[in-house]
Order: sequence, then C-alpha cells, then structure tokens
Amino acid sequence: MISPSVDNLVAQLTRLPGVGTRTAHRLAFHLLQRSTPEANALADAIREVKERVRFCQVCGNLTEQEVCGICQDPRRDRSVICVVEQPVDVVSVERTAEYRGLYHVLGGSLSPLDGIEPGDLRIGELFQRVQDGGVTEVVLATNPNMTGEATANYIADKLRGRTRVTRLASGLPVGGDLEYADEVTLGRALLGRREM
Amino acid sequence: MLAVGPNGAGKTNLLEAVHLATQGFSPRTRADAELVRFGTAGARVAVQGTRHGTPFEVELTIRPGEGKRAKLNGAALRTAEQLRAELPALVFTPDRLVVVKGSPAARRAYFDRALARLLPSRSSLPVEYAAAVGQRNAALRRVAARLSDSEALAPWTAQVAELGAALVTAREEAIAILAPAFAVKAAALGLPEGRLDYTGKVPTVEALEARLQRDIDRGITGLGPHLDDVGIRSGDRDLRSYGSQGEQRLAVLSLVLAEADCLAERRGGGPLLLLDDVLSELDRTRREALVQLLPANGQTLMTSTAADALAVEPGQLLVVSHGRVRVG
Repeated sequence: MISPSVDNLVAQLTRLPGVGTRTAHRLAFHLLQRSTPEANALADAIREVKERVRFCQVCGNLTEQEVCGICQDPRRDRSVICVVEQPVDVVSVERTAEYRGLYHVLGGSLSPLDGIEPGDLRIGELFQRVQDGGVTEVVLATNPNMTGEATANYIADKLRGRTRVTRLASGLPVGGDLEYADEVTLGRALLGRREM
Repeated sequence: MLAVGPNGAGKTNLLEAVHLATQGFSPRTRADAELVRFGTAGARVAVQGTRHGTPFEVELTIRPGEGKRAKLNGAALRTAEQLRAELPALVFTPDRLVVVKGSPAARRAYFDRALARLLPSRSSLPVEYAAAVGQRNAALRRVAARLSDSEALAPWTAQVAELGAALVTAREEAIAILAPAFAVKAAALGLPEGRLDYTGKVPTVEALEARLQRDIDRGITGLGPHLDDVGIRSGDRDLRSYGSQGEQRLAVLSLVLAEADCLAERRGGGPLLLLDDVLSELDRTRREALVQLLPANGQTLMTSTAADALAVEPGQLLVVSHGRVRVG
C-alpha cells in the first residue's frame, strides 16, 4: 500500500492479459518515473483507440471508418472469404502477402463452457454474406485447437452445398528442424502427407 | 540400483527427486510448493546420465511463486513437463494399487498415460476428448436451462464423436501393444494367464443423437470412452474385484514391467524404472523373478528397508540415512 492511486494503476494493469502483480508493479513505477507528457501519451493513445476504432460493418475487422480498408479495396478478390477468430489473425494472414481475398472476423470461437454460442459470434453475418451471392470459396482459418475445430466444423456444415469450403492445413513450421517438432504436430503432418 | 535404509531415511525422497528431474513433476503431488523444504527459498535437482550412449545433464529448479524451470544439457526448456518426452521413466509406488483396485477413472487415467508414452503423436487425445466432453456437457446444461437450442449442441456432438472414435482406436492399439508383454511378466511373477480387456464404446453421432433427451435431462454425456474401463484378469478371474492384495500388487508391477519392455522395443532404449518399496511384499522366489524381468538395456532404482532383500554388487547399493546417500 503506497498510495490509493498507485494501487489502482497496478490493479488496472493486472487486468491486462499476461500481466501479473509483479509486472504490473514494474510498469506502474516505470510510468511514475517518466515525464508527465510521456505518461499522458499512453493514456491519450488508449483513449484515442477507444474513441476512433470500431468494428468493420462488413467483416468485423478493426477500422476507423464504417467499412475497413480491406473491404473497400477494389483490388481484392471479392469471391473468397477467409474466416478468422480475431482481428489479430487478419494481421497474420496479411503478412503472408499471398491472400488477396476478403476476411470475416468471428470475434472468438464456440465455447459453451464460456457461454459462447453461434449467436454470440458473427456467424449469422457470414451466412448473410454468402447468401448475398458472389462468394465461391470460404477459407476456414480458425485456430487449430478444439474450440477452433468445432467452430470450423459448425460453419462448414451450415455452408455445405452453398459454396466451396476449405480449411487451413496443419503441419510443420517452415525452416524448422524435424528434431524440434513436437510429436503431435509431426504426427498430424505425417497424416496429411502428400504425393510428390 | 538398490537404495536401502531405515524408515524415514529419505529413500522415497531420492526416488521422487529422480522422477522430478527426469519427468518434470513429482509422482506424489502436483503441488510443486510441497517439494520445497520448509524454511528454504527453493528446491533444485541436478542429474547427470547417459541415454543411448550419449551423456546428458538435467537441472530443475522450483521457486514458489516463480514456478519450475528445467534445463536439458544447459538449454532451457519451455516447460519442465517437456522432460517427459525426452527421458522416459516409469514408477511403481505402493499407492499405485489403485490402478487395479480403484475406480474405472483411475484405470482410464493410467492407461491414457501409457497411451501417451507408447503413441506419442496421439498423446494429446485424452485431454482433447475430455475438453470436448466438457464443452458438450456445458452445451447440454444450457439447452436444459433454455439458454440455448439443440442446434448449438451439434458441433460438440460432432467433436465428441470424432475425438471419441480416435481415442477408442488409440486405446485399443496401446492395450494391444501392452497385453502380450503383460501376460509374460504376470506369468513369470506367478499370476497365470494375465489378460487386459478393453472394449471401447465409440460414441457415433447417431448414437449420441438417439440419447439426446436423456443427456439433456442429466446434463452430462452418457456415452463414450470417458466411461470405459479396462479389465485386468488372471484367467477368467477379474482382479479388480476378486484379486487379493498380493495379486493386485503383482498385476500393477507386471503392467509397469510390460510397458518398460514395450517402450524399450519401440524407442530403442529402456526407460528408467523407479520401484518404491516393491520388495518387502514379495517372497524370495518372486524377488529373484523380478530381477530377471527388469529391462536389460534400461536402469532400475529400487528402495528397500533390508540390504539383503536382493543380491547386488557393492557398486549397485546406495545406503540412505538421515537424508544422505552414499554408495555402499
């Protein structure tokens, strides 16, 4: 107990993902030692994103406009939609510079244990986009874990017969050594091996 | 190696430390703070050895509040549990009798761990299946509470069916690998016609749909390998209910020895065997039989209160007293 406002700052920082009490203390003391403008810059940045950034009305990605830059871009292929769980996954797929289609951000994955059901994700909006026509392929890029797989299965079932549905392959990281691959990943890669 | 010493000298503690250093966790408890001596800041185990003829070093430290850190040959591991895949070890402790005489859940847990060691690429299946059942049960209760409809249940029924079928197959394979070796070890220890029986119930989507209303009423998935059991028999006699304490002990020991052989064959090197207090309950003939059954290309560490429990070379004898160990 140093001062109520420091305690409050520590408590707020602890709520961030991956930050424990010890890290929160370090961050709080670091901020106290900085100049006032420097510390305020962080506060302003937080306020600004909360005021300006919202979800794209079409795909659910983060944007400062009604519709995000990707959805507005005339060069993108409008016949392909890549379905991801979170906006950060869009960033990952974009980094490949291989994908030229559009996105659909679900906002999470199905998990009844956490009370998350199809109605809580932007799944209805995805079906509507397919319904509206012009979509020839939906790429399911949900996480390769249990809830991600269940979400992908659910969407694939519902879209069957309406458009082509594909799922990201799972396998080995490129540039790595087989020696360092865990057995489960290597086992999946072996199951998904291809003819050469 | 035979570790001898009076009760309370620290023999089991030595075994536990070796297990911790090779597997990343204690066979006795998952609460790592319990492994730190009262009044000290942390615990550390360092082990040197050879595997497949090449030397290795492990160092594991526990600091309450900071967790466990493990290094293999000087390189830090992401988690201490990764050691398990590197340095296989099997353990027998007197409380392992629950594998035979305990609830089906204890047997499922034991055979699922054996599955993970024998079929490493499928080691995550039991956990994934349990998570799918947990999600489906949560969905069932939401349907019962009218928070949700049966359509939201469908993806979880599909997951339980898919992972359940894979788990049943993996368990059948693991038990098919273990069963012949189990029969051989059990016979040598005087338990004739040892058998392991497993008939998994594959939860197909149709079968799950057929009992949907009952599942919704009870709020749990009432079909699938999370309810299976493994029969452990001698001839037609079920040792789970009709085995004597001695027979149940021999059955557990036979399981450990059988798995050691299977691992040695599949991985090209025997696992480390840690046998706690196994000799005291065996007569002389069985003690000698046990020594013959130990894997030839692996190492075994046993504890005993009596130095004459087994005939060993002086270099194989560890004398434990007051928490200190010296080579006898």
